Amino acid sequence: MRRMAAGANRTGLIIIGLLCLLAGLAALAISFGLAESVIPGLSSDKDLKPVAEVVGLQFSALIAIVAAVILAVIAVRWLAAQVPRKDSAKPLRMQQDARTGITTVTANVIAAAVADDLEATPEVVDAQVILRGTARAPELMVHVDVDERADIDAVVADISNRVTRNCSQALGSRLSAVGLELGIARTHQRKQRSVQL
Amino acid sequence: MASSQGSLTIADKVIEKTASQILKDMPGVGGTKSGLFGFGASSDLDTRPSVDVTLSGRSATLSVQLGLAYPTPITEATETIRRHLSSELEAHTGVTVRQVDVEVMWLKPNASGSSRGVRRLL
Repeated sequence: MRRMAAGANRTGLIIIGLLCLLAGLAALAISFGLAESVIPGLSSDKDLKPVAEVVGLQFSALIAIVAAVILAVIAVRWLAAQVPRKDSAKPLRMQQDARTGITTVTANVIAAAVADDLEATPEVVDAQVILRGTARAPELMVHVDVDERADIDAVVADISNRVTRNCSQALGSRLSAVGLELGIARTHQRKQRSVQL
Repeated sequence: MASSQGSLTIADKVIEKTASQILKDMPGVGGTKSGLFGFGASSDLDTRPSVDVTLSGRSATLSVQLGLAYPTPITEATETIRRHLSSELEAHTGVTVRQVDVEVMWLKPNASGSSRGVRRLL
């Protein structure tokens, strides 16, 4: 249910791959003497002294430090992007006329209410909910753990009918997407001690 | 309200408590008990919602924090609350209500089954 940074990873890998490919092609071109036509004097048997002189300049160390810092920032940002994120909806504004006042409700409030509602479904042991999207196009992501002897079809039917209808009714708009993930709870975390008739 | 017979002053706290009581009397509207340092805090439909008033002359802007029965349509419910609170507060205190900002803090199913689950928010 949490979102991973798969898209960012693919983009990063494509960029790094292209850079490596270009570097490899350049090395091949130099070693075969093809680069000499583009940059005169750049051949495989050439003395490396001019390159060494550039590295030995006073500001070369500063450039190296700046480059290292930039690379470190990119690496830290990439690492931070790997943390799975919920991407919950921003606080929903639901008033009809803002001049008379605004109504605000957070995605967590809706998610908690839906999770409470899910627990009213027989045989649901645990429920986790994320609300994404906007007030006009809300998306509901649901994970429920059901008892291992539960009637899965009945649970799914109850969620797709009653639970989503209640959520739509509360939000005043149709859910644009509903994601449902089912898990089987093999351990009973609680035992009912009484029954109300 | 000043005249030769005297004046009447209403403190903002009085307006806040009056508004809070008006909300409590509405069906399907509740509040949150703060508890001691956050311990023992609870939310239910029998608790008075929290109201904060900003006065400007003889008009007031209200900020309300409340809870609603689930699955009440939030937009319609809060519009009803806004209209009812404005008219009742004006009738009780004579203060004109300009705006009512509502923050919904919780939603609880009418037939509570909350004790049956081991729910956690992601």
